[in-house]
Amino acid sequence: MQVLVTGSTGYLGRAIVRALDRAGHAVVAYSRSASASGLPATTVDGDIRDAAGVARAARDCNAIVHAAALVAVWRRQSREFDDINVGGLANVLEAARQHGIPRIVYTSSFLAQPPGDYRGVSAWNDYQRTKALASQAADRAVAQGAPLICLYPGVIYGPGRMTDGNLVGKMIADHLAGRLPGLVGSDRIWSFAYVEDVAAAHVAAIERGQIGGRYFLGGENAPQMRAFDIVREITGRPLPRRLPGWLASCAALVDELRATWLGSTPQLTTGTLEILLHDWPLDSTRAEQELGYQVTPLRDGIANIVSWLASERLAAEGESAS
Amino acid sequence: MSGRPTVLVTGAAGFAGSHLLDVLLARDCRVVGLRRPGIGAEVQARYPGAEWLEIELLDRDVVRHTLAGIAPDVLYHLAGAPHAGHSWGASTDALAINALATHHVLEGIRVAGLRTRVLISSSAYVYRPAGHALGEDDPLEPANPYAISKIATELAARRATIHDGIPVVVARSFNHLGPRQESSFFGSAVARQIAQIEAGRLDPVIRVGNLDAARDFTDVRDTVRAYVALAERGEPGRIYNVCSGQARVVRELLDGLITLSRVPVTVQPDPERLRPNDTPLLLGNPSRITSEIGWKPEIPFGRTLQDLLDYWRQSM
Repeated sequence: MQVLVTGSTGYLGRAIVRALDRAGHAVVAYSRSASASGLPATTVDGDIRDAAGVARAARDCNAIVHAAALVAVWRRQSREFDDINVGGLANVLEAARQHGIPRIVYTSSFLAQPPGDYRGVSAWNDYQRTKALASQAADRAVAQGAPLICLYPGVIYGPGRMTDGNLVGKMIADHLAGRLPGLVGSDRIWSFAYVEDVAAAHVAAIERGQIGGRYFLGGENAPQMRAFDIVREITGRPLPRRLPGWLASCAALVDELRATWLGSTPQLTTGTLEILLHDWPLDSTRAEQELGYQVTPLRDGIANIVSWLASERLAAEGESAS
Repeated sequence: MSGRPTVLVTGAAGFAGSHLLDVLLARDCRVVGLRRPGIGAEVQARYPGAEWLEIELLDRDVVRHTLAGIAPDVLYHLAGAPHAGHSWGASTDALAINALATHHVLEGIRVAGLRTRVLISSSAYVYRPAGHALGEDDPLEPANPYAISKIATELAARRATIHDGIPVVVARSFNHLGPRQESSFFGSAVARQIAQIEAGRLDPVIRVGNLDAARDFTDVRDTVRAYVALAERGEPGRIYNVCSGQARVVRELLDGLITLSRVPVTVQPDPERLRPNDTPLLLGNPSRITSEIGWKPEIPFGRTLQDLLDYWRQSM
């Protein structure tokens, strides 16, 4: 199949493009700087907010993976999240309609669904709000006959580009470098979804996902701290501090005020903190049954991050030495 | 994004809110409904044509981000603690939600630099009780915390129009009635009891408080039509009564419902059901909205009662 991948240069997008290529599909990679990415694909440079650009890129494709998203803790303009995360999906649906493309796989998020210990769809930060809105737009599109398959990955982790989408990788890198101040919500449950597993599920969804289907792509449902427990077992690095909620609240507030008044980028906001203080387990049974989704054990996945970080560090040291 | 206008509704899972969704979803617009966290999930399930978010309107930051992100063309601010009779028991709630939430919403629009047309629902309970049909320029005299909070809301609206240039229109709605109204309201409570009696779940006795108070009842479906007309054509900064101009004593409501009952029902007075400061007459003069906007109620009183009773019969 010829598959358009939006968000192709992102943390997950890159893994999806490679997995599609390995499975023998021809990929059209659409991103703002796709042509500089070195991905095994026909590259088209363009913005997901450009409806005409998306439609042009989709012209000769018979499937679309829509993985483009603004994944960030904070942006000065909330509107950016809406234009990219909600408007982007609308542009993809319109492009598919124009060209009669019969399969669209949409990468939603665990955050678009209510957390395990809570009912309802909240909007604790702009990312969650817009992913929730887009997920509802997707449901509506399905009801109106759009050939959409929705995937809801958990907390995606694994080696790869250090974007905001690679939260676990960044935290482990910071922890190993002694720069992680501590963990907020360390005992809260995350569903750790290994990036290659999630990418493989996208390929399977393109090939045999049920139109209108919703698939949760989780992994081991474990406390956030469990990942650092594994890091300790591998490297001997002691566990990060557990930051109490009230302290984190203060830190988040200060961070946000600094961002608002001084133009810095906050690492933590009060809304994001709220997300960290809930449990987010996922049940991936349907994906396992219908998409052959396989969960990499958390220990193996974390070990891969640690060795990948070590090789990156070696490479960086090699570069500075030569 | 598409050229369809975006309409945001606060209190979308509430009584008037859900009826407003019925009107809006029949139009070509994007409808985003906000509801209070943990409240109204069943209403959301009934309206998949809208997008929904659980937003705590007392959380200033979340409100700001949400408004800036969604950038609505029209906003119906219907969220609030609704019941005048309850506001003695939960006066902080009424004051906080109605006043502070309105402030946050209008502030969010200002900070985002939007030109959103806003319709804010206020209440006839802001008026000083009088023996005649109340016009918009009649004196105000809030008799309970709920009414105070609604005046604060109106002042916030006025401030936003004058100082921030946000086009805000205020609807002072009188009593509205209809299907899906909470049973803490008199008419709905009676209809529910009749439905329970018909279903054999309750003794055929209805206990009532003061039946001599006279009110100006409008069908909720007419009320929300007025909201839409006001949001489209109301003059910014102006207040409009939403009412029928016809006073009915509460007994008429009771008798009308009992007439529709399929089984005999007895009425028994209950002094505990009297509200503090119960106003004898609350009648509105609709001439401003009728002449300037061209809205008038269309649903006959009898049909409202029938639909209200049928609603409770179906939920038995």
